[in-house]
Amino acid sequence: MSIDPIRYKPWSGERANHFQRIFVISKFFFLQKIKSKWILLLLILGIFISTVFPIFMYSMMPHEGLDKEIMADHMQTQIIFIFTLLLVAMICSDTISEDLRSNSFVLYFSRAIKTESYLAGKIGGAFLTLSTFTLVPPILLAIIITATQSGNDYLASFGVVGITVVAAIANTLFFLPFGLLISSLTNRKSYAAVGTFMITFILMIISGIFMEFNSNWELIDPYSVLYYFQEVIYGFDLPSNVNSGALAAIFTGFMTIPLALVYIRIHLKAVGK
Amino acid sequence: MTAVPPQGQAVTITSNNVTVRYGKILALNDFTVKVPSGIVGLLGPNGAGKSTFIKALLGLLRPDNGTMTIAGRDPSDDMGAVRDMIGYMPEHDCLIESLNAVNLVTYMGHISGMLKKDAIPRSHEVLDFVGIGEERYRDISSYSTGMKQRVKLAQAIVHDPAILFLDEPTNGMDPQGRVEMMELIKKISDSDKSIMVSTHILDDLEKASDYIIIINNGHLVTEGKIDELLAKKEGQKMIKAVGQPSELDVFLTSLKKAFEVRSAIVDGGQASIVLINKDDGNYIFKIGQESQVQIRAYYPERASLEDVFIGTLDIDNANEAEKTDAASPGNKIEGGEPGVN
Repeated sequence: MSIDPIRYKPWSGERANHFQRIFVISKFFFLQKIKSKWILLLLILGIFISTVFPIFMYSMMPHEGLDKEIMADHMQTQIIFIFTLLLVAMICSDTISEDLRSNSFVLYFSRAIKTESYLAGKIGGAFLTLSTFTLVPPILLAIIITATQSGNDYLASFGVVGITVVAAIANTLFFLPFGLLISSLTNRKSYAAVGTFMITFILMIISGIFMEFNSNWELIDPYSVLYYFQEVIYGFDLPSNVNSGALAAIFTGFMTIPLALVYIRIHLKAVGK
Repeated sequence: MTAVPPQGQAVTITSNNVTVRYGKILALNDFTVKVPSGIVGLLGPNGAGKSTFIKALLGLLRPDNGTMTIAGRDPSDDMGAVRDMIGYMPEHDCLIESLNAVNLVTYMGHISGMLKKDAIPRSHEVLDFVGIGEERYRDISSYSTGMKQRVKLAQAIVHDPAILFLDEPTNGMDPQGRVEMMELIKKISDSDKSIMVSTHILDDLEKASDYIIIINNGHLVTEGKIDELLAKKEGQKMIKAVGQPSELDVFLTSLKKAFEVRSAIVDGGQASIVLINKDDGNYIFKIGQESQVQIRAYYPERASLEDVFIGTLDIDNANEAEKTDAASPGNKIEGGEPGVN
């Protein structure tokens, strides 16, 4: 390196509005993640195990149309839950922890990016990445089953496709706040990944132990919460031992409390407190 | 598309009676200053309130009292527009080390609102400017401290901000790198930018800046053009003398009666004295002869920004200590000069 003879050149050009910059963060995050060989491997493995076989099975099997039961069963399989959890752990692990470790928050917050824009950008990126497993394959499965149906009631089948979109979005969003919270608590990527996975299983174990005394403890288990929420989305009745109010409260709590904590953490970090 | 901020126009920054508190700690205390365009040095000891001032200007902190404006806009109310005008180079490590320089600077341009078609060529342009060559394609984690400083500058200027805040821009750089960094800053300022530089390497700042603001304990201590501040030290001379300790004491006492003695170190049979004398040195030599000391050296002491800085802080700290003593007479400190570092 030497003293550069190049003069400083001013730049004049158009600037995108502030809202579009959220998408820039999301897109950047998505492209970074999708290039990761471990995430790609997990995605391919997960899609192959959870979706490729059902696609062949349902498209070859004679069927009148797309039933809600088929899609609900598919969305509620434990294999999808486990792969979703693994992917959330890997995708969210460095979402915030990397910025904590490198102090790069200041690069965002010295620009026209508010805390909520930063968070929305990161959630958007994580959502896009996770949806390659949780959103695209189930919709693809639903469309293929509809395309190969023998009956003529396509309207009903597309209705189920629509419900599947909602269910898949819920599936995608459910774990993201939790993953982001764990990521915001440490500046070590590995701790965040293992933490996300372990805390979920600890909750499942606690639920398993205490539900023998009171059935409401089942709703501490994230898998059960998601399972029953899918039941609600597909329009099935909840079992009598499940308190629908408690289910709604816990689902909302899972989604909002971690996000609020992440927001406070990032906001304080941005201000330097 | 948002309105393009006033690129290429010198922008002024004002702070009127700004007070910022962190709980019980008063970080900025009734801070009033008008920062002109050009390269402005923001000086102060650690904890003086420099970073708080910059954070308040960035709109990250809302002042408890007072108002701040950048180009007439309040950063707390018009955060987006104000930050679009600003480029910030932080003191500490802040680069995403898993990225290479091109990707990082492009990304920063992009989130500053540049379109993709502009951000990529512009990032190469600013990396060329700061002197990052083919290394730009390597991960930042492999960069030396000097290279990281250059990339930090590149990300701050990628969107061509009207105002630049540079926090310790030469931190960790070798002497040659420091010279090059200050050259870069001067080149940027040539295109009518307002550049606020906070640094502890006052020698660098003295060569590059036009205006100095000194801040201590959250309040403005002094400000002014660098030439005017240095002129206050005009006529400063250094005397080196040898003799018997008692004779040196007599010599020093006589000098104090006739001149403003800035500092005096008498150690055994040697004395180093700094005083202000705008005339020739004949009278000093006469006093020396009368006191029977040998003046070995007498030469102008070049005033530096460091002298101005330390001298100003000494006076301010002494004033603060006096105020504290007056407020609580029971806590008077015995011995030593109050507040002198």
